[in-house]
Amino acid sequence: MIDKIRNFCIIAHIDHGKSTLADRLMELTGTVTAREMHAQLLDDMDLERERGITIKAKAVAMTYRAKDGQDYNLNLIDTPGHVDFSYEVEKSLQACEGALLLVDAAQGVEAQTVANAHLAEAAKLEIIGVMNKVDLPTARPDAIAMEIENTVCIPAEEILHCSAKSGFGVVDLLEAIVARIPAPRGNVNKPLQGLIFDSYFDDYRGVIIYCRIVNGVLKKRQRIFMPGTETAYEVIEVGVMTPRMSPRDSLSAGQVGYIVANIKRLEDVVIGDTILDEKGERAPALPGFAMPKPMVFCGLFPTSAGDFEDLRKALDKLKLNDSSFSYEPETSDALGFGFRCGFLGLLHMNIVQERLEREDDMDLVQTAPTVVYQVRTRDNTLKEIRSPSELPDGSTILELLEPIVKLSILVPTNAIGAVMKLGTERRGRYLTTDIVGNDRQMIVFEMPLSEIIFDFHDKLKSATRGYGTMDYEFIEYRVAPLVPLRILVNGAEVDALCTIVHRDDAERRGRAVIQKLRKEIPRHMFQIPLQAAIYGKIVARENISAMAKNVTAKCYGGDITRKRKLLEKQKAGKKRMKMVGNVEIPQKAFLAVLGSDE
Amino acid sequence: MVKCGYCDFNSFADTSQDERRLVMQAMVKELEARRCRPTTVFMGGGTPTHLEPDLLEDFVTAIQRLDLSLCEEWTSEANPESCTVEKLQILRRGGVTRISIGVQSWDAARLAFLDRPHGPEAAEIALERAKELGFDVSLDLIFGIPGQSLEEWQVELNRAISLSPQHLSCYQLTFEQGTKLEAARSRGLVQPASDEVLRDMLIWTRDRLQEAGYPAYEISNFARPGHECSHNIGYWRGQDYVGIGPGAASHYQGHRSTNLRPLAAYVDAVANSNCATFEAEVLSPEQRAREQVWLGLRMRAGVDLESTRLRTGFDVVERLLPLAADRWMRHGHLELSGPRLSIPEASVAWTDEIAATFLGHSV
Repeated sequence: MIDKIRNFCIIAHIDHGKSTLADRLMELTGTVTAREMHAQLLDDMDLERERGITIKAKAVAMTYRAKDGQDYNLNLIDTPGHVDFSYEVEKSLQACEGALLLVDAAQGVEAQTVANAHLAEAAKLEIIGVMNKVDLPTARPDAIAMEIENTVCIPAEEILHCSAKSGFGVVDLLEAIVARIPAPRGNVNKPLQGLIFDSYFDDYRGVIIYCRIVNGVLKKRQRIFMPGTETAYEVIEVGVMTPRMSPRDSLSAGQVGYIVANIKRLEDVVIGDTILDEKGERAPALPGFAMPKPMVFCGLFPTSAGDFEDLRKALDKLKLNDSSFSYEPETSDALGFGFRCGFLGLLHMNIVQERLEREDDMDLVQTAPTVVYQVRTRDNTLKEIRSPSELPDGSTILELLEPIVKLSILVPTNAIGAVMKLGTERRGRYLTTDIVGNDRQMIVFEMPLSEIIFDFHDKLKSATRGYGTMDYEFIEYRVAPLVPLRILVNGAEVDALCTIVHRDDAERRGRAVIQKLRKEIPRHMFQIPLQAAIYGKIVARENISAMAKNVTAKCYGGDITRKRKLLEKQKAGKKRMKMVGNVEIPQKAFLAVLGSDE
Repeated sequence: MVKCGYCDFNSFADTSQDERRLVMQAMVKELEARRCRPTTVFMGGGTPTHLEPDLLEDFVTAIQRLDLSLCEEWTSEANPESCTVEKLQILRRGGVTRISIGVQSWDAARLAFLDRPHGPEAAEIALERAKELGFDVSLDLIFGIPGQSLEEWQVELNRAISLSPQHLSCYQLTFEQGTKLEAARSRGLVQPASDEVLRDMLIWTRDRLQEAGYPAYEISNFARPGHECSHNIGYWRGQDYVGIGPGAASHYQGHRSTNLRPLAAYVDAVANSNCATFEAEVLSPEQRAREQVWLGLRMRAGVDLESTRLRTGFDVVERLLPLAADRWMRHGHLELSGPRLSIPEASVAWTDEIAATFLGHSV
């Protein structure tokens, strides 16, 4: 039985056709009929579909009768494609024996694909190179095959060609999955060990766990124990996704499926944790378990104070389905009561904010994202800093440390100059360049994470006309000459606008922020001085001059309704402003600290 | 007849005499159906003196058939070029007491910019004729025309003062949606005056006319004491009014309605039902009170919050004033004297900014 199981995932860059290929595999194996096929079944959240990314991994069980006449159980484990979710990617990979490395025949290899392929190699997966969209007129299969060979060492001649859209080459791909990906190794007679590689929250059934059974058998009604959270539950239901939930009596070694165990909160299940038998012989936990750590923090505040409780409820709800997101109450002098929220990365942050605004109709003020700094005080204690307001008094600070990452950027050769300049401007330390293909190279920098989380990705895209892609991984904390940059509006410090910056960059950043604020804050009936200060020294100042006039010349009988509605509309437009002292600051201005170059 | 480039009023420009006759007949019919007993009458928002004498006379006669026993003021707008002795006599005989002449400017180039067909002299002639016939006369002027300096505006206003009308309206030129002028602005062909210049013009105008014996009683309106336009004051006090004609607006106790604007549609509607209402909204007591404060703050005398409460049942003092006080009163941008809330002269240029805080559903 176990020798007929193939567990695999698809590694691909956004838009390289992962979801389309998954659809085609399900269709060709008869898992889902073409008529049932609601395009791209695997991505079920609007936001994911719009952004073309898959956020949460899932698994689909398919039965495939191969040319050898045997039926095989193929389990496709869907992995998140984005760097922010690399911990989750890693756990998904651990549930597989093989990976399809899917590359667009026109676009070629991207930094993220390479990073994920390296993760798959590290997990000792059999990697099958697949070139998709070979039927596109712009496809360059030979050149792209060279890129794949150069970056992930798959010989060009072994790469399969397909078109997920038309179905061309997909049967060959299924055969290759059967022939080349090894069957899982595991023993049904050993004590139970199951790897949790994903979970989500269902309103009616509680937490649904996705699990790969490594050894033993998991049965309905069995009591399980999870060492990461030290909790025990009774299994209510086990089954496989086809792609709908299909209950089974048990799951045994090598199989992939879901578990329902009456678990109320998503925090009670941790990805990477092991499922063990509570009562019988208890096996050791599987190795490599770690909690994903938020890397980027920002403040989220309701625009009107009355919405605080609603925001809390919305965050609670969000947390139900996203255990990697964290939040805790925060008070800002400027913005009142809100939350300091932690995210895996920038994309994760944007997704959360959009979801809050879209699904919960919340008007939010978001403060500039910041990385987690460390401060060593004179008494030699090390403290994490998630917001400039957490900094202790300047005289007690011994040194500040910031997170450094290894940043890999894949760029067309003709954009190397622009990217080197960008990297250097952002305090990057150049490490290496590798030739990827005829016209593309991989440049590697060491760079402070803080330089990346602002607008680095946008800058990279414009420096490479959209072709550059990037990926990063955390290396370590390093001491850096960092200073708090304080922003004063109308003489009062606005904590939500303060940031921690590099000393050499402080003046330029201060000026840039002030100039941006001058553009974003509307004129008031009084002059508004704007100042940027470092340890009490003003490094930049500007004034927003007072509004000269605002008065309607004519308002008679026929004008009244129209003018009233116009003013009401303008007033509604001001809703997204936050009153700080007696200055109305628009939401956009709180992101002014991001713009560093204009 | 050509419509002026800055004007967004409904217009008879490009109509035939027959069409005008049909519209005027419909207006007479609507007037009869509404059976009002006005305290003031205002013919305008379009220019009655453009009508042929017989059409004008018919309409004046129709108004005369109303119960005018309470009517203390009857105004007609007039354009300089159509202000003939004959038409003025028709108006005078009919009972019109007040003529508001659309001078707009004394400068030939600026008149041409505004598409006005008359020269500067025509306005003076019209004014003399109106005075001779015993009308109270008001002059309309526009400032802030692109390219106009403060000094040039001063010359224009001084000339108007020297002619001693009883009343003056001085409007900042606005770029209204749908006008030729706005189209030119949006294409960058016309550069509006800066806010600073406009503010200086507004402030100088108010100071100058105060000194000349025409204190401001509203943002753009100035009169010798006792010659204020009662009709217009009614709009800003939230009083009821009946609007007759295509596109005309009416207000009755918080019910606001507007007639159909296209001429033919208006004529048909009146023919079929004696009524041409096309949009109507009923304001809640709160909305009505908010609107009254917003409108009342246009007046130098401000708004009486106690009579607003009595009229609408909504207590502005209790519900809205605390926040407004925090925001504006402590900075001297709003004053409360007894029940009367007003914007001090020094803050008039920011009237919308201040008054709009009373609109909407929360301050």
